[in-house]
Amino acid sequence: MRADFSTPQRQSGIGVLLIFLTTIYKFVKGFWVLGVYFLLKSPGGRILFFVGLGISILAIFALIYSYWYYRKFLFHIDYSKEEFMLQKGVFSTEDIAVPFDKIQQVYLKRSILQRIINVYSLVIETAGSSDKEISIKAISKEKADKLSALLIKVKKDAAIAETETEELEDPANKEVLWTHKLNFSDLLKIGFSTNYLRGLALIFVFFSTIFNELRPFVEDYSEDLDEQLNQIPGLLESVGVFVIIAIMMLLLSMIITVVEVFIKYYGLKLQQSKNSLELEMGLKTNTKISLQPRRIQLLQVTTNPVQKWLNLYEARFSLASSENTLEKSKIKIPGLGETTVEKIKSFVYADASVEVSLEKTFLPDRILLFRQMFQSVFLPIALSAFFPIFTDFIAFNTWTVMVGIYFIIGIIWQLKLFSSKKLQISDDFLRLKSGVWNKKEETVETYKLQSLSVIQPIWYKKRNVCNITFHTAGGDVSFRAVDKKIVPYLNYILFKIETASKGWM
Amino acid sequence: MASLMENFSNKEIDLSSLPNYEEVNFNPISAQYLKKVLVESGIFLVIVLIVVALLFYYQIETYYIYSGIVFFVLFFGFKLWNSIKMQDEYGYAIRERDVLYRRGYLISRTTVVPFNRIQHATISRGVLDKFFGIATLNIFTAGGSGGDIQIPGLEPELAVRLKESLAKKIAEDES
Repeated sequence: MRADFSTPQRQSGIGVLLIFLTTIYKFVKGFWVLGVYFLLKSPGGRILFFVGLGISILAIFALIYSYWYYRKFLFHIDYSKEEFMLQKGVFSTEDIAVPFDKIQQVYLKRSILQRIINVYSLVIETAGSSDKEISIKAISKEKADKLSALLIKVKKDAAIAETETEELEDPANKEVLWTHKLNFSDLLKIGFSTNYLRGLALIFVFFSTIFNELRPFVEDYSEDLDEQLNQIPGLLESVGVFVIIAIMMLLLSMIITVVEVFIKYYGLKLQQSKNSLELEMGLKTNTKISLQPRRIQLLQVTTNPVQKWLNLYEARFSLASSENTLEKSKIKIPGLGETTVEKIKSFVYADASVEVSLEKTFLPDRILLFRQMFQSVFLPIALSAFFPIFTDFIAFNTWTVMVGIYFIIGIIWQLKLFSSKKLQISDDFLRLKSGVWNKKEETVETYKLQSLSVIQPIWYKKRNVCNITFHTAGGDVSFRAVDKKIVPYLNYILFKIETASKGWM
Repeated sequence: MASLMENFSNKEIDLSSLPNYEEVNFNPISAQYLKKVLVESGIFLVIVLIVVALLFYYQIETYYIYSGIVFFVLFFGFKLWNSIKMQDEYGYAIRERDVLYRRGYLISRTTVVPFNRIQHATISRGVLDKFFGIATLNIFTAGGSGGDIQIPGLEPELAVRLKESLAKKIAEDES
């Protein structure tokens, strides 16, 4: 066994105990209900004997399993391939290889159990979600320190080219180029112009809970209520009552939205210096974030007609999950003016070439319109027909009127939604636009894509269309039902990723 | 400015000259994989049969059970048909700079992962995989799970070879 971990090695011998205890713990967690049941039942000696026997056999199996798990858990550093290798699993086996330069972070941690038996967990994080991290659960302090030091060293060596190009801290870089602040009236404007659907939903949840609590009470008085309702003379008045209720609901949801906006974005300050964009906001929890262009994977700008008129745009950034786990992966900045949005874009995409030699806009195929119509208009109407036909919850005439209104609005909405969908591919960017009321524009730098999927349901084959999903480290972006003429452009996107000299993060 | 322009070119891009991902020849996966899927379905079927037998044994007969059985037969038939149809659709290809993986019959899905975006690769083998002598190659990117690739039904040696050649390609790509 050599100190440089170049030969496969096992965890600490005491690790068997840890694996055993963890396995037992998992069993207990799964079957504690049974245990409680037996305790309460206080069964006779015979049953107790068999239960005891069962448990001991289980324990023996767990011990054998733990031993085998320990034997099969092998890790080493392969210096020639520049990879950290791990093999594990008793019944199913897994071979894991992490290239040095893909290691994001190496750290030690220990649980109470690990503290008691004096071992450490060594965790190796790679970019991406948490399930992609690798941990060695039982390793002695001495070995853990050595291994983590080695891994950090090889990681640094592998990444040296990158770190060299990074600029040193220069006071000139700290100089503030522009600042964007939100004052009281801005926050008020944002609150009143953002979508109230969330507020409405909150109210709905609130009232339905109250209603459920009060139900027995309400049912007692429902007969009285019916009488009172019958006394309301004409249809006109009841419509009036309905309108008043609707207006009150709207006002309430507005107030809720405004309060929410104040809590989230009070004191928002966006400041750009030469190398970074600093963001500060929040009443309850003060968030401070430095946005670096290379971390930004996806930029989304939204606005609606009212906000556009007030010159309010909202930007959302998706960041790659980075070494700093405290950093939120999605950041929303509301209330930006059009010029500020442009400034942010020119900062984030400073490296992109100005000259455009390629620009192509794709629109979805008509089949998507039919799909939308079916999903959001025809299917709900067909399903809602259940109520007038099988119950007397609603009269057939009323249903027809409501469905008629829904049908007209639905058709117009879906037509607008369909015509708003656009995919734009240019030299360095992908841009997706969509939205009827809330207009959304998503921008991705082509070279920051991780992979792409082309999906073709069998019923799309005849029309020669497909769905495309672009996978970024900040989430997926999809465009549905686009003509296969896009294939050369996908080839171009792959070419761009594969020849990119810059790292995506 | 002449010195600046020396290494700079901005030719128009000829899209048709780029290698087309649709023209690659996909390698099929091992026929053992279909056997594994069928055995899995068989185990599932046995469990359901036991449940049904128990229900009948305790004479809990309502028309719910019968409609349940009809539904299950239809579902199982579809699953079987789909598994058989899907077997021929599995395919993978390795190009100079990326990996391609295609799967799905009713909904065909092709994912392309460039080598310079691969985080790491693993090989996993379940109990049934070991029995049928196959393995799964998992390729991870930093994108969501939809952007990752899991190629099932590879001969274990092939899986190892593929993984190793991927590692080499990733390393080459970075130097």
